[in-house]
Formats: sequence, structure tokens, C-alpha cells
Amino acid sequence: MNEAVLLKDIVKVFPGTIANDHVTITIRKNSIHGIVGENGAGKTTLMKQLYGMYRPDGGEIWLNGKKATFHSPKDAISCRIGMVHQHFTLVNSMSVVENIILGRPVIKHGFVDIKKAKEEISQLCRKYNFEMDLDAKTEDLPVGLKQRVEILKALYLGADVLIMDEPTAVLTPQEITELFATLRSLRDLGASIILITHKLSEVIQLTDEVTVLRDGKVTGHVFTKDTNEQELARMMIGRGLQLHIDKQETKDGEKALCVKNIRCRNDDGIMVVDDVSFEVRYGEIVGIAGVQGNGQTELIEVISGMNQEYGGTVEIDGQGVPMKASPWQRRTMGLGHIPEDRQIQGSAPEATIEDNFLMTTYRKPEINYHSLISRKKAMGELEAMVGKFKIKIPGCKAKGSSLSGGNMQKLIFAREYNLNPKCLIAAQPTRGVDIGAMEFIHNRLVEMRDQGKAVLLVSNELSEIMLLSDRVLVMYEGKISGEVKSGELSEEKIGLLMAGITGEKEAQDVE
Amino acid sequence: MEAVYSIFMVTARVTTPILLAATGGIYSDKAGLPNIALDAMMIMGAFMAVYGSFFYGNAAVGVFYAIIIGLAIGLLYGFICIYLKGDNTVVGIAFNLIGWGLTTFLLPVIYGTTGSFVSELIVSLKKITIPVLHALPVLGGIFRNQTMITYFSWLFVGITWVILYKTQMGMIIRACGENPQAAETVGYNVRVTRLICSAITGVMCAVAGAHLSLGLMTLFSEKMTAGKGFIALAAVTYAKAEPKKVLFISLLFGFSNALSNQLQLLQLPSDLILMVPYIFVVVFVIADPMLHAFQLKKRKMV
Repeated sequence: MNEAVLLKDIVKVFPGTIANDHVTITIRKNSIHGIVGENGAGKTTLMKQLYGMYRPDGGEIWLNGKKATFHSPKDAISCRIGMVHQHFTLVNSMSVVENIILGRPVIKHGFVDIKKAKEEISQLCRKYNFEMDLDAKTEDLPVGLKQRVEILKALYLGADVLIMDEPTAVLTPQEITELFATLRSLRDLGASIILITHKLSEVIQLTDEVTVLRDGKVTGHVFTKDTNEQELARMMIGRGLQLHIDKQETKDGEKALCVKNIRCRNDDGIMVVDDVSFEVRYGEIVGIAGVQGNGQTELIEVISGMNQEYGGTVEIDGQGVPMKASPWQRRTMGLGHIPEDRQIQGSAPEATIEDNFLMTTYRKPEINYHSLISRKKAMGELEAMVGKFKIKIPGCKAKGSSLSGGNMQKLIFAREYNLNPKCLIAAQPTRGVDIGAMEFIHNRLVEMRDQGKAVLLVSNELSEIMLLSDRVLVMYEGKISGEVKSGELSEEKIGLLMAGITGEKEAQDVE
Repeated sequence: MEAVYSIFMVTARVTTPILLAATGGIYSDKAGLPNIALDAMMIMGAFMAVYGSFFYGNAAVGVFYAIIIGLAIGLLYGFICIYLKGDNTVVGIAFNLIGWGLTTFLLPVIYGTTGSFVSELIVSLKKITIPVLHALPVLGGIFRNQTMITYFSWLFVGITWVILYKTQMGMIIRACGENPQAAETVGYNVRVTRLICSAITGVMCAVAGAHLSLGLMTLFSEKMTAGKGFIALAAVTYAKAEPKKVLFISLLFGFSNALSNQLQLLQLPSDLILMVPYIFVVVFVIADPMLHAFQLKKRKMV
């Protein structure tokens, strides 16, 4: 008896689609089991059934050799199943302790006994070797720690089967390393962990076995040690991975974007961008690498005009940009911008797909007659772009939130592409996007470059920066810690710069 | 000295309906279903309190009737918004209009009079002066000649704070309001929680109404809430449903009201004096965010 969970012939039907088509998966005890597949392959749906949020239309769930039926997450929790959702289910204004004990508070004389709860959780933290400030307000925590609170919450409720839904989508590389160490130690202490992801490198690094889903069906089940990324990719998308993109020779173009001595502070008054200068020429992709939170976000906000309190100058296409120029004025000067946060800045989930597309397009003279928008022409442009970018949409009038992450990102990309910018800022263009959409967006970025446009690429994914960039700038603590030219690109070199180790510093350290 | 006592006495008295309704509103707001029909529940409470008091000759029965109607409206409001998916704003506006309309309509139907209903048969709430405390310097006025509802309203802010931050029920309420998924994924029922909170809000607003018609005055008149429910709503919204801030803002309004009452003794134009409480609130509401914006800008200076 070595199986913790057995999902047997699970069928789940949604109107119009079969999300899970006779899926059978066995999760062994003390193992990390990866479930991989593209967006929409049915991974999350499957796990929501195991967590009692959906009820299967067919098939059975077995736990430790016994058949189980769940009506709500409560039932699943009492069967020692825990789930860490992709979007955190934390109450931001509460302290860490309160969040952890929310489901089962320690009660004394009718009141919540925070002190006792803290003792219990400290013990838990010691057992799993977690460091955690239990009194901190949850909203002040970085994403990685928020996730740790979620894990603690599940453990506190007694989980020994832990479902992790796309846990790395929002984490920085360091946080990912820490998370993996945590998950390994949890496994060694006896937990069974289910990891849902579409990042193959993570599966290879972390898991013991892998099940691959495609279009709701199981297309493969292998032990991780017997497989590799290429094979998994073939099971997942039906073909191999693109490891290289053909690019034309770089041309020495004019300056498309030139920033000088940019400085700015965040809301807390801390200098987050400190004297940054660089330029992007026509026909090149300049990558900005760096660990998240080293000033990249703020730098983009300054260039795009979303933050108008800064020092230094920005030039677009050789023209100086007044500091108070709005994002729209900067767009008319030739700037395009794919914001890093797709859900908050890049799109309006409640608006229709058409309106999401029109959000920047509506001022185009072909569509806009004296401030009146021609819906007919807008629709024409949208349909052309949807065809060109192969975006899967349920209809132009459907809500933005009905699109998967990848398709929404393609729509945002199409919207910016359609404005024909001279210089495009692409911030985290493939975050949380599946492989198909990612390769598509990569190819389009290179295509724009080959057409002689300038691209400023900001990404946390080093592999993405390496694949696309002609030149790489590395940011560390608000400064450019170094520049690596094409031809000298190596992961080690960039990695050192990302950690703030520059040539001079090394020399000093040696002394 | 008597003037000081008098100001605090009146402050406590006129703060009560706003404070109680606002504190009741905290529950709905924190649970994620802000209730904008506070005024409707208040005026219905005022009406039913007079009804009970008039027909049974007992103020306590009046308050009991107010509680029943508040409970009913609160549950109905919750039911429409939560289970029938009614839009909060639309339902709230409808309730407010119905509240005014229905009480105006029922006045002639039940008592055969229009405008307002005054009768010697309406028994008002007993005024209680608390021994010892009433002799406190300056603040003593708060404990003089007040109804039970006034004393309860002070107590209730404290109770609300304890419930919200020290009990499991409070944790659930806050979780439901801030991140319903967080409450759901650990096994709580968000809808039921919101319904209960809506009922609490209804009861408290109706009791606040009873204080208007049986405490401050002994009569019922058309639209006698004079927008107090909306001031309470503003207090809850502005205070982000924090009990301490709700208390502060309610007091600010009550105090400025009492102050303007006192000023009426002076020979100043009455229109000017009636503006005082509103000016207080408007100045505060403008100045506070401006201060915050200014501080933020100063921090971000390069």
C-alpha cells in the first residue's frame, strides 16, 4: 500500500468542453508528483475535484486505499488534503498567525487565543525549518513569504497531501529555489506533493514522477529520472521545443530610446532607481535582467510615463520627453508598452475583448472620427489581429476574463503591435503563459526587431533574456550593475551581475 | 459649567443614532456586502417603535417592534443581494425610497394624520442618569438624562471591536469581506455569514431609529431621519469600517451638532448655525486625504 491518492477515470464536463476525460493518476506516498500540461489542459480542474471544489461527473477518488467523496473543501481538509492556489487565498489585513489559523482557530473562553496559536505555529515552523515573522501583516510580505504562509496554513490544517497550483508563476528565482528546498524537505518528512505547472525545467528539477495532460487526457506518465524536457514537451504539445531563434544580423541603427541619469523613489521614499542611463537602437533587442525588485518595475514606470515624479531625462526617437508627458503622449511619440502586470495594468478583466483591444487603439485616426469611435472599423482591426496572432477568443463581446493568460497576453501584444510603435517596452511578456503562446510571442518580438524596431525586454526569466537579447543590461539595487554584449552572453556572467558581483567588487573581495 | 455639561449631554444624545447605525453598518461592510439602506431601516425602526409604544403603552414594546422590523429588512436586503444576486446599489436605493414612501403612506392609514403623529399615548424611553459618573468634571454630561439606547450604543462599539478582532466570528467576517475565497477554501460559508451580518446591521439601524422617535423626540414625522442614515453610511465608508474611526467620526458630527445647538442661544442667523456640523465634516473629509497626498508627494521627491 504505497499510494496516497488514486484518481480513477475522472471525468469532468463543462458546457461545451470535456475538461477531464477519463483521467487516472496515482500519487505515491512520500513523493513529489508533477502534473504538466498547457493552459486549458485540465490540470487545475482535476485538482479542484480532489480538493472538493468541483464534483466529478464520473470516476472515483481513493485516499489511502479508501474511497472518498467530497462535497466541499471542508471534506477534503478533514481528509488531510491541502491546496495552495495559484491566486493566494490570504486575508491581507490580517497577521500571519490569523491567516494560518483562520480555518481552525484556537479558542479559549470564547475568544481567539493568539498566544497559544503562535506557540503551535512556532512548533510547526521549527519542525519544517521555516523562518517566519508571525506578527507581520500579510499584505506587507513579499510574494515568496505569502506563499509560505499558504503552505503553513495547509500544514496547520493537517495536510499530508499538498496540492501546489502553479506555485512558481509569481516567484523570483531565489524564491523558487527556496520553495523547492521547502517542498523537498516536506516530502522527506512524509508528505505527498502534487505540483501543477507548465514549466518543464521545474518538473525535471523537482519531481519524482510526472503525468502529462493534453486536452483533458493523460498523454504520458514517466519517472522523472528516465525523461527530459524535450520528451515531456513532445507529450505536452505534440512537438519538440524551440531552443533557438534565427535572427538577422544586427544593424547599427539610430537611437530609438535614450534614458539618462534616471532616478526615482517609491511610495516609502526609498531610492529604487538610482542614476540609470542606457540607450536602445533601432533593430536591436536590449534585455534588462535582474532579480525581481531591483528597480526594473519602477524604471519601466518612469519610461512609460506612469510615474511622473523622477529625475533625469527620457528621449524617444531623438526627441526629449517632458517629465509630465502622459503615457498617451509618450505613445504618440512612438513608444509601445506591454505592462508587466497583465491583470491590473494590461487589461480590464470585466471589459469585453473588443474594449480591451480598443483601450489604446481607439485614438487611431482610422477609427476615431472627431472623438466618435467606429465600432465597425475597430471590429475589423480586431478580427485581423486575432487572425494574425492566432488568438483563441470565445467572441469579441466576451469578457476579458474569459481568456486564458496566454491568449490575453497575445491580445495585449496584438494591441500594441497594431499601433506600430518605434520602440516597444515588453515587460515580462511571457509570465504565466504556456509554451505555445510563449514561442509565438518570442518569434514576434524578433520579427519586430528584424523589421528595424527597437525592443526593450524586461524579464525575470534568464533563459528568455538569453534567447532574445542582442545586449543585456543587468540591474541590481536600482543601478545598472553591468552590460553584457551579444557574443559574450553566458548565464554565469549575468548571474554574477544579478547578484551584484561586478568586476571591481570581486577584485576588492580578493584583496 | 452648565453649558459644558449641556454640550456633552446633547453630543451623546445626537451621536447615538448615527453611532449605532454606523456600528451596525460595520458588520455588513466588513463582511463584504456594504449596506446603503441604513436610512430605510432607521426610519422603519422609528415608525415601528412609535407603533409599539402607542398601542401597548410601553416603550420597551416599541423597541422590540423596531428590532423585529430591522431584522426582517436586514434579512430581506441580504437575501435579495446574496441569493437573488440583486445589485447592492440598486437594491439599497430602492429600499431607501420605499422606507420614506411606506412610512409616509402608513401614517394616515394607521393614525389618520399626515406630516407627523404626536400623541400623549406614546410612551418615550426612560431617561437614566448614572450615579457617580454624572458628576465627572467636563464629561459628566454624557451620563446625564440618557436613554438605555445611548448607553448601549457606546457599549456596542466596544463589543463590535472585540467581536471583529478577538473572536472566530470576527475572523470569519473579515475574511469573507476581504477575500471570500480565503474563507471558502478553509470551509466557511460566505453567503450565510453575509446574511447574518446584514441582519445585525438591520437590527442596529432600527434601534437607532427607535432612539429618534422615542428618545430624542416622542413622535413620528415624515422623513424624520433627515438623512442620518446616510451620515452613518458616510461614517462607515470613510472609516473603512474600523470601529474606532467610526466612533470618532460619529462623535465629530454629534459634537458639532451639539455645538450648533448651543450657538443658537447667541444672536446669530440660524441658517449659519445649522451649517456648522456639515462644515465640520466637509472640512475634515477634505483635509484628511489632502494631508495624506501631501505626505506621499514629499516622500517621493527626487
